[in-house]
Amino acid sequence: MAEDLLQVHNLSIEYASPRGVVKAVDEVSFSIGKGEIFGLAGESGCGKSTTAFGISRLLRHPAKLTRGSVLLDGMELTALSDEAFDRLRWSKMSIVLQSAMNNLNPVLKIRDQLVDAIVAHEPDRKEAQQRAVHLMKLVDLPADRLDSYPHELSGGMRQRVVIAMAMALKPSLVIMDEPTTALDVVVQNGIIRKILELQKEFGFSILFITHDLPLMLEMCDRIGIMYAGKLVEVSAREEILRGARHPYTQGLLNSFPALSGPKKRLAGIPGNPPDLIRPPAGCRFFPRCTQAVAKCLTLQPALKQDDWGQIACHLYSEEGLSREQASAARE
Amino acid sequence: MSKPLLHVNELGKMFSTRTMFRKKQFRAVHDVSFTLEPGEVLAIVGESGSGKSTIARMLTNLLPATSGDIVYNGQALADSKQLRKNLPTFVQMIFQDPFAALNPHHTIGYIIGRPMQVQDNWDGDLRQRVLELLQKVGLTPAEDFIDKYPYQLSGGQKQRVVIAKVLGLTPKVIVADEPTSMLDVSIGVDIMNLLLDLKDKENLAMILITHNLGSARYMADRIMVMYAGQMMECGPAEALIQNPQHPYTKLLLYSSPDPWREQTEAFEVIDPQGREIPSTGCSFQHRCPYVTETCRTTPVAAVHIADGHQVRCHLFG
Repeated sequence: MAEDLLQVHNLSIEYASPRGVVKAVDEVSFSIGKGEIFGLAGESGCGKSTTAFGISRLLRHPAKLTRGSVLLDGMELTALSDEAFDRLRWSKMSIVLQSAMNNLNPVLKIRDQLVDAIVAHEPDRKEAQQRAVHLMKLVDLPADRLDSYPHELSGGMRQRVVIAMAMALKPSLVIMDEPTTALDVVVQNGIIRKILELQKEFGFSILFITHDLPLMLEMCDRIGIMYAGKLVEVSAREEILRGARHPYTQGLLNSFPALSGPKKRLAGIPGNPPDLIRPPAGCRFFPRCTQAVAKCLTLQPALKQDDWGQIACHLYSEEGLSREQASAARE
Repeated sequence: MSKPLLHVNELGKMFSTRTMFRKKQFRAVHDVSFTLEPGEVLAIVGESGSGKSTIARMLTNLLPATSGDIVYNGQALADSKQLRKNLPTFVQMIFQDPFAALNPHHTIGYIIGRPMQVQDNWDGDLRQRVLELLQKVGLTPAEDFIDKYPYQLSGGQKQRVVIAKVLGLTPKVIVADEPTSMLDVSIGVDIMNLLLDLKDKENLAMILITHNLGSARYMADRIMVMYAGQMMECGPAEALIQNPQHPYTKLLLYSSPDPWREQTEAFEVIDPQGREIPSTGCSFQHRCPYVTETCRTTPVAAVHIADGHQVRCHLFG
């Protein structure tokens, strides 16, 4: 991989709740290369969005970043003052959230919102106006839509506006948190294609977050799988397509009904995610794992690099159990 | 087959909105026909606004139809007061949001038992019956669940309670409107498997409303694809997924992510750019890459292209 643009190291985020401290994100480390599309997948409550909010300093009370470092292009983000961080927003890092309705101000025209975002960083209003027209073209929206209010646009068009806004100052990192989840498949497909096209043109990196693993496998270069606040596997897209290694990734893949191949009964994953106030002492996936061994109960596996990627599972510890052996164990 | 369990014939629904000076009509469902046999699963697939939930609501008499017939066991819903009264014991609905479907003030036992009391559907020991139902939907040990309140359950468990409540009335048909879309995928699979098992055990007929072609293929024997209130294609699930005929079905399949598929047939996607659905000719014409002059002017009728496989497209005229 080329140079890293984003390096997240031991990021931990906690929520205080009446019952105790919830460790929503627990010592998560990963990096994203320049121009790379990195996916973060997992089910609700696994901490994938919280990780994104932690990186972009959007955490709200009672969530608190308790540990860890975030390096963007060599700059330590956690040490920045709020003012310095605000200068960074949009220009170096932008974020696209799930519900485009909530990202746009309902009482302002699209034009004003786009121009506002640009002028906050580059105070030439005239130039910003032209840039807004150009941005609309970039996401295939007619320029006369600039004078529409958000409610006059369809869900897909609104999400395109938000993407245009995220592109406005040519950031080097765009965080996308479930950008297409509320949309119909045809609209989703159009937006994903647009994102990939823009990414190719401008070469920014993407942190793409979704629960939709098949979608992620179609578009991301590398994928991190999160479970109960922990990163359990980081592998290249091709590796996961060839066969997931972590039992949780396997279970997740076995939960999506496919459109091709033979029709087979899906097993899903039995049980429910653990309570993050008192997580299991050993591997957090242990209570739901069908391949658990004795030490899974007591010893938490660390995320380790091997020939195929990074994995946190005792099945792949020092003895070096290969994928073939693992899949044999699976049968 | 003389009398199918459910026969829907040219079903239509118009919604009218009235402002001070104007009356506007919107056709949500137009000329939809299908039949359903015991033990069969029909998936109705389409984008939001295609009319699939409106059909579900008409089938369960939550909305009156404006045209056409819904015939259960040879009796038309519109004609028989008796049928409308007993309808809950014949057809039951599972809604998308299990969090909203359960009254937070009542215990699980009450929630499952109450419909049976209202419908006079059980004269034995109600508590015993509720325990049985809880067992049937996999909420075991049932004794632990019966006195709980909805807030104490997870989303998947809530959806199981909804299913137990539905089964209590021993319906012949279950209409499931996006039963898994609010749940995590691994939990959603469990619910789909539960519904499939129950269908086999009790010989239930099921209508699954979904926007996900993958779940439709997984659950259904037949799939009906809807667009703008009309059936566009309807056929055996596997044939329709592997060999789609209608351009809209092709577009849906082309757009659905499936990283394992070997290659996709290229499909030229035409962005409707917010244009409204045309009122003359085929309703899909403005998004169809194969559009001809006929499509713009002449309404399309559904044609049979194979046994049990219909397509509404001029290409097959």
